[in-house]
Amino acid sequence: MIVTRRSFMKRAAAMAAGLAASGDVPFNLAAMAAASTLRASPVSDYKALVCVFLFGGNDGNNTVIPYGASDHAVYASGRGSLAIGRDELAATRIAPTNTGGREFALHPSMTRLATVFGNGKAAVIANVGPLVQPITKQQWDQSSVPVPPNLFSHSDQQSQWQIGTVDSAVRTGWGGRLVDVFYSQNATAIASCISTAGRSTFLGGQSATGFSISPNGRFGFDFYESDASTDPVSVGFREILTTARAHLFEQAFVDTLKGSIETQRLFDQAINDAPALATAFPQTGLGDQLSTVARMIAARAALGVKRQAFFVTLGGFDTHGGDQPQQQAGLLEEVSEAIGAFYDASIEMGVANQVTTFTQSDFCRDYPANGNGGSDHGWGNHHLVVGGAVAGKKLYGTFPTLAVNGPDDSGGGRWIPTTSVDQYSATMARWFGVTASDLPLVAPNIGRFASADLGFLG
Amino acid sequence: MDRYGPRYSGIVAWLVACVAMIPLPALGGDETPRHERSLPAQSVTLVAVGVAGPVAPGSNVTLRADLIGVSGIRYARFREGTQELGIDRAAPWRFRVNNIAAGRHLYRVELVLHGNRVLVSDPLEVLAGNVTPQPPAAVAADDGVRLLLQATFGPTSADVAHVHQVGVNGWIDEQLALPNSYSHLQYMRDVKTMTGMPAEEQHAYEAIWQNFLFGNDQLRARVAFALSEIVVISNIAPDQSPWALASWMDMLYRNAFGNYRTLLQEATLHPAMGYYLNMLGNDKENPAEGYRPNENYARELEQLFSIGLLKLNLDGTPVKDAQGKTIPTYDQSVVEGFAKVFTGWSFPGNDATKFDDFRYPDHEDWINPMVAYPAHHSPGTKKLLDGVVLPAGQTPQKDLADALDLIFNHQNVGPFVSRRLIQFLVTSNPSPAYVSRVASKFNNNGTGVRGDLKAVVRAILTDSEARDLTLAAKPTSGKLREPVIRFTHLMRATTAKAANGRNSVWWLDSPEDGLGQSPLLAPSVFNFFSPFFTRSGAIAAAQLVAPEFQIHTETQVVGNANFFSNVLWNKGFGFEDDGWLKMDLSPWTALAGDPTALVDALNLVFAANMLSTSTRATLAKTVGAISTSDRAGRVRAALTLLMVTPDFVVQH
Repeated sequence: MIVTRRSFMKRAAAMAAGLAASGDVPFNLAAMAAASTLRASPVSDYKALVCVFLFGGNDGNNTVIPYGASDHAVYASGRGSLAIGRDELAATRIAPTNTGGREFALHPSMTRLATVFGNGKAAVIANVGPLVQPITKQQWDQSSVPVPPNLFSHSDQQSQWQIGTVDSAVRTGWGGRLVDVFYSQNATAIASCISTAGRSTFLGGQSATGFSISPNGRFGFDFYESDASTDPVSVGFREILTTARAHLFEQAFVDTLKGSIETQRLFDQAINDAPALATAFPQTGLGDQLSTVARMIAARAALGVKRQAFFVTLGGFDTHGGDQPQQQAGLLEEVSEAIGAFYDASIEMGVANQVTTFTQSDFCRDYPANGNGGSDHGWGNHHLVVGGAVAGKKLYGTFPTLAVNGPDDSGGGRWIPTTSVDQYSATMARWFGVTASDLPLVAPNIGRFASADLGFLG
Repeated sequence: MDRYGPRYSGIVAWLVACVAMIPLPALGGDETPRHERSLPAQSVTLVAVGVAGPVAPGSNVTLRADLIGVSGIRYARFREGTQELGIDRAAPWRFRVNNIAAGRHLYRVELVLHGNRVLVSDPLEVLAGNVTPQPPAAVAADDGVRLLLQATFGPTSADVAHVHQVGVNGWIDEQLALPNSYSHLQYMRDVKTMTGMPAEEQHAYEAIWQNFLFGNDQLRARVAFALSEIVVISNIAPDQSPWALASWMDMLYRNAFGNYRTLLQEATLHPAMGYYLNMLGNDKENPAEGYRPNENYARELEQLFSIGLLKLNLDGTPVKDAQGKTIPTYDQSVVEGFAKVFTGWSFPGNDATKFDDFRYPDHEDWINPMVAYPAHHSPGTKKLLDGVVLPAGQTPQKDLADALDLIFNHQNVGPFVSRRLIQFLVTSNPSPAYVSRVASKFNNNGTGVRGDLKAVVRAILTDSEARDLTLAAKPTSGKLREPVIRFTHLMRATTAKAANGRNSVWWLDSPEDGLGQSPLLAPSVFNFFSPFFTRSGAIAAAQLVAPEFQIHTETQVVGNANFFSNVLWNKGFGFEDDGWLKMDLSPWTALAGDPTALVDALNLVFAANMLSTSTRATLAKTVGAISTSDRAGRVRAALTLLMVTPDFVVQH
């Protein structure tokens, strides 16, 4: 949704070269196939990645919380008025099998995802964030290694998470780069990257670009009934569409309208042909978006897509104020219920092992409560990955020491990430089918980090 | 907002004409009935039974009078033109036209009632054979209205009358002379007075739309809007103070007809920009800690607000060296030099002794210019453009003045600013000569002043390339009108007003649900679209640019069309009840009885009489196919189609 200077420049340059790199320009299948010059790893199955972007900076410190008695006491003392009581966390306890018995809990609102975690189909990735390269606290204090620019700026951090690496030369989104590798294998290339939240940096690759669809599933014009309708406005609209124009801009506008109708006809057909879903989705903003994504996945055969990336969003996480507890509680409930329903829908469709959903956000929030009882911008965050292929019921990465001025603190309780966004995305890329040799196409700077595969996807 | 409003029923079947109560001159025949107004509940509609579209010549067509609430009928008289065709003395009131001649026929029925009253239907058109309706008469483009398309947020009928009265130059003179009296900040304060609640983010946008919609100084507003798309701040995150946004717009209005050097100064020191591009609290270098000044503002100021990446000729084309290659205006070291200049500025009252309190201040003033903190200003030399090096030890103010003077006096600024303003007002593809003429005015307004925006704006609008109707008719002329301006045009031309005298137009940047464009909500400092954007296909092949097309994606054209369609169904728009802009369609519905008259009037006000013949025919046919008893429906249909018609969407 946020187009940064970098991704914008990339698109402008590509436009001048004649490639349709900006979102939603009318597509021509042959041109798209020809434009993809990336080596494609041939795949015979279907896979999809769904990015749930939490805009504003979700407070991971209250999303994944230490639960053991003494553990929790340390947490509570450090968080002050923001601390969630241990008794409130009982219903969302999670017991990762790889933390040596150390227990955690998800935010009290997230009962549905806590259950999925307990069933081994969700994992926590701890303290992950944008990094130029690995950095220790000492290096941070001495400013002896480079760090990402504009660390606490919303737009920069949203961009760095969606681009998936900190590198001024990389301007595409990692979701787009990921799909680029398989682009030529999608028969309906325009369906490769779908956003229900408008334009996104995440889905902007070199060939693949995000196509925006409406969360409420309306594909067409409100006033255009059909090609056969004799309603006067529909007739008039058809005449407008079929009257050739001498003026170049006028004709281009008509072409865009026509292209839109063609694309919508395509999607409509595919979705209508697909079996309806029985799974009930919550009627929330995120629920609507994920329900739309589910319908698109149900139509994958009709669309002839093998590898898809989706981008859905929820905003409101920038909780500086004293209403953080209520605000975050409502938002995380929406997240948990919607992702939970989406996971259930994937089971219903028989693609649970082929669809992986994961969260991203601008940043975590700083650890101690601020003067207003809320919290300000942080850095390293905890995220959730959900899906049948997830090696779940585990906590990956390293949970930070929750102490201001502690070994993980860059200052003021803003955790220095111990896992990078590059590693997060690379792990998902490997599962998606990107070979080790192709991995730098998706995660160009993965070589800066110790491990290219965190292991959370089987 | 009712998105799923009622749709047109698939009427189809019959061409209908309707409504009574039209007094007629005395009829011939054995009586001279008196005519008087019938009761409103009565109506007569003439229908052609089973006819849907043109009929075969030589076929038989049965006409029938359909009645609502009418009784006491003596007879029904059927006419074509003034000629009487026949009379039916009993229900159902019918007449059969035998062996209909090829061509266009206009029929009426008159119901003569007891008591000497007559009800008359509107004309019913029946076409026999491949007869299309009369093509619309040719109409000359109206340059006065063309000017208004270029220079306002969309003309109203009153605006059209006025420009006809005072002429193009007179209109421009009037506009340039209007004092700058609108204040966005005052609007924000008034919100608190009127509602008792403090102003919030959406009120800043309301303040902007308020003057776009209702202000008299339309040209200043257009130029300020254009400047907001060149020197960009955005609240897309959102993380700007609403007061900062309002103050920023006041600043642009203040400078729209002022001097570009002043604009550069005020933009640089405005805290909204300071926040957006990180100059606020930007600290001097600290090599010991590895800290270097933030380069964001330095980079974008040069690249986007003043000189651009390539050295330019006066005509806006890039300078080429002896090898035919373009020449960059600056490199990274220059950016670093400027970054050092832009250090040591922040809100008044910050604690300059503390690094953190200087960079992330508690004390915020989003309205007044940033002030200098010498202790945080880079002390060393600063290497700037074209080899100029500022000496060490200058005050922050002196460094700033020198740096901005250097930028302002760069040969690029004239063509850079001129070309962009031309693109926002007149045409996406000005000729190099046009750019030259305007840039010359930027360089010297005629009395030795550089950077005079008033002179630049006048030059842009009075230039022959803006006013020549032959050029306007070319297939590469003009530009795609910005969605914001198409929306304001619709609201202005329908005199849309809110009960509270304000508006509630807030976030319209969604391409699916809105315009895909909304003031101060650009996706980035690169605005909604790039001045260099070209659309692949014929436009790129012709080596033209089409900036606004960058936001006209497949999603946006649908979303936009639906947005307008909904506004028209609901006869208005707003996010809030009191501030809901209600349209007044009465001047348009008054014309809707005659499709040609309606379309002609729309053509003038919305398109300066430049809709193509085929568009006018389509619109007239669409209107005519809707019952004349549904005048609101006729106007709505016409406007819905107009909003997506390419010759409205594109200004020529």
